Amino acid sequence: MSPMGGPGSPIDAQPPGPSVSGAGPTVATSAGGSIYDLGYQHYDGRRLGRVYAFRSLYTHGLAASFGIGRSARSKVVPMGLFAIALVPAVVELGITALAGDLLQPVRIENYFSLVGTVMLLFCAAVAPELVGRDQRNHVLSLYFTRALERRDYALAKFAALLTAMLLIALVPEIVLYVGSALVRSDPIGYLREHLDLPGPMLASALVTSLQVSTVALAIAALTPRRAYATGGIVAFWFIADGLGTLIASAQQGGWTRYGILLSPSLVGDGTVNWFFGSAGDEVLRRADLPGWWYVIVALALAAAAGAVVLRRYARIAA
Amino acid sequence: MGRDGVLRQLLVLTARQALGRRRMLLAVLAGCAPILVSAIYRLAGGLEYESWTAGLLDNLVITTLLPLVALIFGTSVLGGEVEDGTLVYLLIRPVARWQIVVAKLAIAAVATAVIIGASAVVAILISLPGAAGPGTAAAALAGVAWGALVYTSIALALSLVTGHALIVGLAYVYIWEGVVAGLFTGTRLISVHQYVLGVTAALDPTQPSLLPWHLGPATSLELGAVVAAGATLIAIWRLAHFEVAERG
Repeated sequence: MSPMGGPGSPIDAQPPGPSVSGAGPTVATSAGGSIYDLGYQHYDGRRLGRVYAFRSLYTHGLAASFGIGRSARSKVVPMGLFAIALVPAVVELGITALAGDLLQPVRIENYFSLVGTVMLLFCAAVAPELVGRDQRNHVLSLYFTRALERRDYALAKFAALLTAMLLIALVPEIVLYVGSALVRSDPIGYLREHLDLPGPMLASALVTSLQVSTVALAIAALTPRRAYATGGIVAFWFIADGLGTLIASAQQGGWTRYGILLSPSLVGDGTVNWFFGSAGDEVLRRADLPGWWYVIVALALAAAAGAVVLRRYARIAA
Repeated sequence: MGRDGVLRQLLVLTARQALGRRRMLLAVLAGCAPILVSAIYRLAGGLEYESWTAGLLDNLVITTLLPLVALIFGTSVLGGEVEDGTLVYLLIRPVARWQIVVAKLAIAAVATAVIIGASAVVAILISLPGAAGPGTAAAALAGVAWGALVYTSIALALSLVTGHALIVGLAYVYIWEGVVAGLFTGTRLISVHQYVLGVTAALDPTQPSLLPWHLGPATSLELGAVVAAGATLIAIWRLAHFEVAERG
């Protein structure tokens, strides 16, 4: 580390090069020729390092997922989908406030089956923005020249999308849970009575969010074009759903019932049912598979998609 | 070169843009899904041909693939030109802007109808043996063609109104038609999905049709025509007021 002078101090001559014209701050001359001292200085401050870079990318990604720090136009879709995810909880609270416990169409156990599509569309809208813009604008090299490693970049983006998904999955359920207590005359009693709900709620939200966000990120990372990424995510999800449902209904019992595992939505439903210990709807009951299979399949799909993302970023030309 | 020459060139160019890219590959792969699942169904020795085929047609073809492929084609034929900044070169040609809209719409609708229609016909002929097959396949083809026109016209209008045309279109299809129309029966009046089912069910030789239809064929055609015409008019209006300098 050679000490460098401040602006204006003489610098030892380098091998003579072509003379440079134009206005610079200072010209240092010596026998060999002259170069400009532009006043570059050595940075002696604290280096914030890899962890800091990771955290910055993560918080920026999470804010950008909801359009925070971006134009009002890019807030419309994520905030709108977030609001749509809240609608069933608010409606249910309204019903309970007016009619009591007479009918409960929306429950925490079946909330995922109502907002699963919203979670997917949120991912389809946000994942291409999260990873596609850097590819489109050719700025990945700027990230990779810093302390951040390729794997860190992928993991920070994934963590941001996963957090956004968990917010979409959990906030409405928490609103429903806390709200259900508050609309009743005995809130503490309600909470005490339903102490078994938060555990399955967290676990099922985590597994379903993992599944949808890794799949979306894997498809989005493969292309810089937003339209292809969005179309690809939705196409993969719904075509797999259709195939799984139809194959599962080809026979009564028999080997085609395993077809249900092809459908990511039904795997998500199965996961939620297993955590809450509920029976599930007709398709799942007819397939009659052990509940933990769905959890394993969801995690396996997430792991495979995660591997695709990491592999893509290990090889992508920056 | 006269105006007709330019218009023909526009059609050929759009067709090449739509057919030559990865978009087409994605669409054809999607179109293979029903054929694959029909083959698995027959291999598994499935029974209840009519109701399973109705499920195939409704769940996979009409609810999922048709809107998806129509939205992808519909938002990209003009939206792609807006995004790439090549729309300017189109607008300076001596073709009326409404003709550009109609030409682009025609290519998108035909491409969707051909891919999804062919896929539905082959899948139904596999899954529905016997005399009922061709009749049901023809009904599906008619419904799919009608849906292709209505969906692509909506998608084309969206691509000129918003930069997030695909995601807005998908939200309409999978939230409004998928969830809301299932809960609130009245909203089925404004659901392209129901227009497609109305046309298909009316022509289906299995009567009463096993499809979950709620609108008659006349209503389906009238409302579909109103939506398609309205969307096309909005698209024409937007393109007519498109400032060339607006997006570089």
